[in-house]
Amino acid sequence: MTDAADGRRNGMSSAAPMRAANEELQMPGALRWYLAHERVILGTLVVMLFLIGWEGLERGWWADMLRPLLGASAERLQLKPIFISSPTLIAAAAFRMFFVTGEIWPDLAWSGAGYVLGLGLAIAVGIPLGLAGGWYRRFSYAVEPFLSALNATPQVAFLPLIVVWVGTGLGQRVLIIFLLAVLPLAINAHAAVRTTDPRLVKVASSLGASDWRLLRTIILPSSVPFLLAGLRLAIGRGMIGVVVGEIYGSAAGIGAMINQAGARFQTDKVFVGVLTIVAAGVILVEIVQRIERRVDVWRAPA
Amino acid sequence: MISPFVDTLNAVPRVTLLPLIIIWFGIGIWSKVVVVFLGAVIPILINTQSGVKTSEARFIRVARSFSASRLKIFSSIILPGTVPFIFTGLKYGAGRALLGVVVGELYASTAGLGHMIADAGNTFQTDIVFFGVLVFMATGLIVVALLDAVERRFENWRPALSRS
Repeated sequence: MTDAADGRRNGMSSAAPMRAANEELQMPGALRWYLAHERVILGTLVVMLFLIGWEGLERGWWADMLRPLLGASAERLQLKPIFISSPTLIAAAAFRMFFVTGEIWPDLAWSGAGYVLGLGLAIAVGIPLGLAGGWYRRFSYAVEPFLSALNATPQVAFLPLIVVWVGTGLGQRVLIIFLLAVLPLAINAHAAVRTTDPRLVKVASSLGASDWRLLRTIILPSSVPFLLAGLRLAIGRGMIGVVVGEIYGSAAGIGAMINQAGARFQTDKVFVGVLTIVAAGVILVEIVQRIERRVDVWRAPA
Repeated sequence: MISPFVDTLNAVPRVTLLPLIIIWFGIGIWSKVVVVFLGAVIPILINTQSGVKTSEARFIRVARSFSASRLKIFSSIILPGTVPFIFTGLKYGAGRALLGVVVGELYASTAGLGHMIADAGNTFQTDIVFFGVLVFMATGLIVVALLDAVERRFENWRPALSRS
């Protein structure tokens, strides 16, 4: 106790860890609470400031406040709603689009259909391809040039070709989502097989396990974390595919809605579309993480 | 303090911001610069951050007990330890940047390779489209190879890991 009191009298100059610990016990409750939640509090505060600053720019709060100082040039601090919109305008637009006119639901359904089909196709092709590439060396040599070439290309560049091949309907969006999402899945599945513990495989095969048995009992369980990490990447890539595919040539869907709203300077609607996509992505990633925790309970903590 | 913004921006597929960026910056070169920047900055930032976070605590403690200055600790422990992370971020960011160029130019542009591809696609000149795609592919491969070379240059002080 006296130590701590000393420490305080000397200011914070003494850096002995014992004293610092005592100091912490002596802190007033409010300060201790703040330090424990510093990350959340600071984060919330900065986000609030950001939102208020944004709202103020649109409503001209800052222009009014600084007019005495800056004179007429303060007008430049008030921006038009078509330029930046504002948090309240966006919330109002979201409410209107979801619950009053309901105009966003058909777009959501249309985009969702393309997304599910594209991602499903990517999973159905990418994971077996990666597993086979990891297991059969010769197969890997055969497909690797294609995979690494495709990986180095921004896959979106294929979009004009895809439009030439399958038109601008559902097929186009499914294909571009597939192209974007398939690579992380295949590459991660490949890496998963490669990093399987070779001792386990050797033991199992010397006890006469078949290839199928090896795959089912050793390789698949140990590759689950890789596959789910790949899936998480694929979810994000697929979202890019939805938007780009619909921006480039489509009449319906969230991406098309964003595109049309942008072309008409309805900035609030653009933000609603962007936030909807973000929400969908966050929810999907959260689901994958839940599955990850669920599937991995048998694993001994490292 | 910046992590809420970084996390949010990371969750946003940056290409969805394209219509907004066009409104803010027009369809000239600057809208592409902003799209490429937004695409590339996040992976670089996140990787560098985790690189600094995982720097060896024991080294820092030793350096501090030999009364190394903060600058010295940063330049001789944290920075060298972060190099692999920075390059992972850079490689990832390079891919994202290329994607940004293509999408930005497909969406609204008057010039550029992406514009050329879109134009050729619209007029069914499939050979030109393929050529454009190949140029992008080559660019991607060259950028990654260059980054690998620079990384090797900065990493050759590190003792080679013995293969287990």
